[in-house]
Amino acid sequence: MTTSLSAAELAHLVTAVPGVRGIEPGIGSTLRAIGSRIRQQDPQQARFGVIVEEGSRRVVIEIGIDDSRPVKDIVRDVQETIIRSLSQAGDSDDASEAREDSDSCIGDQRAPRVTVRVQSLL
Amino acid sequence: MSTDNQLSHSVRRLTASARSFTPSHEQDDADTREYLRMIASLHEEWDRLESQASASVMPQRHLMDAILAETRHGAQVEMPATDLGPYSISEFSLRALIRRHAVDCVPGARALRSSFEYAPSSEDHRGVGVPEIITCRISAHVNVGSLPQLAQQVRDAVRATCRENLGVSPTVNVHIEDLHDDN
Repeated sequence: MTTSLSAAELAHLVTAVPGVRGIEPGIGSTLRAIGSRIRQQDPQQARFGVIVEEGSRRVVIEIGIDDSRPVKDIVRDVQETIIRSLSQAGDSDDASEAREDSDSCIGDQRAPRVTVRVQSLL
Repeated sequence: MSTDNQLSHSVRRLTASARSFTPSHEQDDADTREYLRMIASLHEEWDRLESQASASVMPQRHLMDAILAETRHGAQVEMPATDLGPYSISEFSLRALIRRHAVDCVPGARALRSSFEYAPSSEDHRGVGVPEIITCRISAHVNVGSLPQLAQQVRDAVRATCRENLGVSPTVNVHIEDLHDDN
């Protein structure tokens, strides 16, 4: 799966999930974002709090949440949003690939591994 | 020349000077001396710029913010993965969850501080493992009739919160550390 979805776009999608207060970067993603800028890599792939590894096989997202819903439900919705969005972007990028139902990406072994780090609960 | 690029200009000049030496066994000592001179000069210049609060030698604001946040949040605590992937929450969040959703919801109880003992974390996780034991230090209202019953209510509330929010079932120890008589 390839994708053109940027870290910046992912950040917008994640903050729209109910219960997510915002992207809340930890030290790891901050250093990666700074390192990426220093190496003059694509700035769209480096955002504080969002790490998209090459080929979108692994995504790490750092968020702050509220207590409106159970923590694991918020986290799962964030993961689902990212997997679905990356898969749909991958489908769009590869026109020769047969279009799949967007739900089919969930649980697919090709689906990216999405790690969520909850930094704060307010 | 702006203050911001003073250091980099100076370093470039000194580095160029250092490169003018042809590396050879005979010149090792001379190269080392030159290198030490360059580093000493760099330190002097760094000190000078730092005393002038030059942005060129100051940590970036967002980096400092991230370091402060990391300190405030504590370690990342591994949680049982959802069906879509792994996740973790900070000790800060775990503490807030237990305080607001469990201990403080029990009439007559007030959370003071909670501490955790963790299982070993998985290889992929840089942090601590799933919490196995949670110790809640609480204050009880002076009008509480039965302290053992209050402790059990707190224990049940913490376990229910952990199960519903995180899918974990830790052992919960309750220590009544104080009494309070205000509302």
